[in-house]
Amino acid sequence: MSALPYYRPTGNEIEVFETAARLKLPVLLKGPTGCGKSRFVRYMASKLSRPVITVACQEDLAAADLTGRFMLEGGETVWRDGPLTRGVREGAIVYLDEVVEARSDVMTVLHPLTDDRRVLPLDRTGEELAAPDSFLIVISYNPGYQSVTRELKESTRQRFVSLSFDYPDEAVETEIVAKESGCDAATAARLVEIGRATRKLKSHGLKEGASTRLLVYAGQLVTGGLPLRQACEATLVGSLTDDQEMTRSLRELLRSVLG
Amino acid sequence: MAAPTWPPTPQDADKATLEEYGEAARAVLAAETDEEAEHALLAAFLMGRVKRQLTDGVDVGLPLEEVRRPLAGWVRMVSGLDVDIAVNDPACTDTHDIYLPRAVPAPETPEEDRLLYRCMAMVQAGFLALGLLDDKRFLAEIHADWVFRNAWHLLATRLVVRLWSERYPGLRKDFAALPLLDKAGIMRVNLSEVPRRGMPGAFRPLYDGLVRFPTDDRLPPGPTAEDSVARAALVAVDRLDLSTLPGRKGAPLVLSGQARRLREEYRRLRLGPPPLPYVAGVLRPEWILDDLARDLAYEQEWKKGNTPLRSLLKAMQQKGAGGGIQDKLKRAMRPGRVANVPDPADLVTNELQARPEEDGSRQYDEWNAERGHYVVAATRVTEEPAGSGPIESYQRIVDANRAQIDRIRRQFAALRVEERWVHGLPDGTEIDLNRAVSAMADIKAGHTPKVDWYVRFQRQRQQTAILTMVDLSGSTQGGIIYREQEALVLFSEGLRVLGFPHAFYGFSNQGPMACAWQRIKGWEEGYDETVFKRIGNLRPGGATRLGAFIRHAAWSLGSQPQQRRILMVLSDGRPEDRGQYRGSYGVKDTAMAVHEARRQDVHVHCISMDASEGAEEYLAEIFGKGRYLLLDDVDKLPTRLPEVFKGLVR
Repeated sequence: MSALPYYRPTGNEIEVFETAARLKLPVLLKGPTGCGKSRFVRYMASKLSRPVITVACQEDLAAADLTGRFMLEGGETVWRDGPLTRGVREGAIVYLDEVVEARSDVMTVLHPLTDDRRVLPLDRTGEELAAPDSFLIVISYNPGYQSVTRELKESTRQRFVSLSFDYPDEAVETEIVAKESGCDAATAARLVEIGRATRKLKSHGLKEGASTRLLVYAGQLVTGGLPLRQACEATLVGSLTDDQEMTRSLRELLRSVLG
Repeated sequence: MAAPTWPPTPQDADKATLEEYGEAARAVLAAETDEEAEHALLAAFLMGRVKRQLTDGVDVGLPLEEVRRPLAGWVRMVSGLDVDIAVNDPACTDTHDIYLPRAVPAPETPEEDRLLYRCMAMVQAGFLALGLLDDKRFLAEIHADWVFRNAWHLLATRLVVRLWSERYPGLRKDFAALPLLDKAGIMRVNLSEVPRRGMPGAFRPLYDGLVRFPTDDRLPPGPTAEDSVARAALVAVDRLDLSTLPGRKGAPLVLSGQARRLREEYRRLRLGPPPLPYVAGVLRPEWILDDLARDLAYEQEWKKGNTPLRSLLKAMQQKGAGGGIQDKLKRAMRPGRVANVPDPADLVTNELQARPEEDGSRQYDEWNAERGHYVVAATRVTEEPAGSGPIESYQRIVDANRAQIDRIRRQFAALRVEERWVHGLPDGTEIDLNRAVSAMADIKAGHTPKVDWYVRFQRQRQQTAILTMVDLSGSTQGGIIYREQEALVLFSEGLRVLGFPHAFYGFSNQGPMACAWQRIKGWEEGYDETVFKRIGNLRPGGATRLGAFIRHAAWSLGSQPQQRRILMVLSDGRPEDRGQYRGSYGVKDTAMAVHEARRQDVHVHCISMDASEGAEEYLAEIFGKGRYLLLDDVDKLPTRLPEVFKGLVR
């Protein structure tokens, strides 16, 4: 078995996930972008020794994209499983990332898998697949997006055990950035200081502050030989905004923190 | 060597100084008691030739507006405080916002002026970050004593400069450059500019590191007996360890203690308040205390009046000063506003209901947050057609915005997704049998088939009912109402393309029972001349009892069959009406109305054009973070309204 991917717990999320998985309860992960939701799923899948199938949802993703469809192969019409069906057959963890982006029929196809039936009806083939005990459905979304059409319906939300994620506290985030990027602790601390400052601008000009993932990128650039200021410019300024005034604010921040 | 005096005596002051302070200087020297001397000084500073704003003229440095937005973002990031930047000269804070001058003094030197703005903002932010303005008793004390206030302010500024310098290398450079920046060291007491030459030695250590003094041969180098108290105060303040919480917690105590010692020393020396350098701004305890008017302890303090002004009035009366000044002082001494206490008869528990009246109007309960009850049937909303006028008014707006209208039409057309099967796709939800058979035939015939046999069902974007309510209160008179009209024209063009059911209503009221819900375009009305005339001829007048209107809007949206309902609120100020519907009462009732609307599955979003201080705070309380947009420029409303809407339904 391969080594566990690095994940630094910030609360009791591992315990809750393990319990939910044991009881076959579907899990909902909420949190801002780049705070470690996807890494957590990979970590838990590895820890529980289960395969994980990740689906990045987008607005054209339909139920058939998940369940499967008939394909023509060599003159024959052949059924091909979609990732959800494959996950049910294999008893895997199926992770639907940013599920609110998908079309609404996606949520409908998930419903029989998220209650005590734990089945996946396939209308096209006439099958009804019973999910094995190891099958687990995990969805994630970012509640920070303020869009009427991008909110998870109450009825759907109540089908899941919910785990809320946020950016870790300063010390933990520094540890994560140092570990993930390979930069030294002092550099990681500086990056985290800047990153946390940018989050103060959320809804004041920035849709999101710098994510932990972005700080790791900055750290990786430093480890790769780029000076700290240039690494920050490339990640924590350029990737956060195109707005000229916000860019000036962020550059001033770099000047203040880095001298 | 003669000891310097403050203000400068005729012997050591230049001509301008003598003209400005000569009389006060002589009065100080002639005073029999320390208190009399202090009154004479205050009179000179408060009633003397006031240079209210150093930047009133056309010859100014970098205007704040050019740097305000990036500066506000930077301050939020480096200080960690959720504050905004507003305009006032001198710089100060009310603990919610940081106020900076509209422009710094001439000449314009952009890099240096930016540095000055940064330092001014961070001095005020430091007071907040260290919690130095949290104690109401302390604020009342500095409000009552100008000498204590300024001494404390200078010590606190030094502490704050150290705080930021220790935390950020870049800020350390900024503050280190301040003494080289002449305009940072312009000295003021209250709003009066005072000279730096002739500054008493007892004051001078307080400016250590903040400003540079002009060459003054009269002062001996190094420590003197004269400045020993100030130096001791600085040593005590510098000993505070700001990296630890105990050090930070102890800061207010140490600062107050040392400032009191200085205050006693300066009274003994008959020196009055030490002036404040431009970069340090001023303290406005009355601005902060006014926000806490509901606090009974403060009310008791405040009702006693403004102590330094009271003392000054007494001194003026004794000196036989003119009635004009005395009247001015009396006005300044009036107690602050007293919290409104609702009538106990209002305190009835009831469920919120819209009660239809025979005339078609509806009555709504109103939330009294202080008492924790609804006031039953406190408001009446009556629907009526909005005012009308010549069609040319509408046409002019259309003509002036042709390019924008075309752009918005295109953007909204892109939002509309047709309900149809899309054929010929390499990937899709279903197989197109005809194309599949054709492909099979190709395969059987040994040809390479076209891989286009999938179809996908595209559904129309879910229908959404949108009600836009437009503030028509008296305060929208002038530019705002015109921008609202423009916004409605552009938005209506987009919505017509989109095909969503929508309505536009104006709102304003004359008291709680006369809330006019002015129909600009009703749900069932099409776009005809009547509607165009209303849009082009909106008329302002009345107040903003916003809670009642939001309840009525939610009721109106509830009558629409669409599952998704959006209420867009355009307003230019806080909820306010006659009687107790102002301040916290109006805000909390409106917040409750928004909460009620959300319970009815109505998405409420606000675009505010309120340029007043504290707007951000009450908007967040009413609508919730991320559910409002505060425009810094009214002109942006016409383009931002459709953009906000697109963001909501994208």
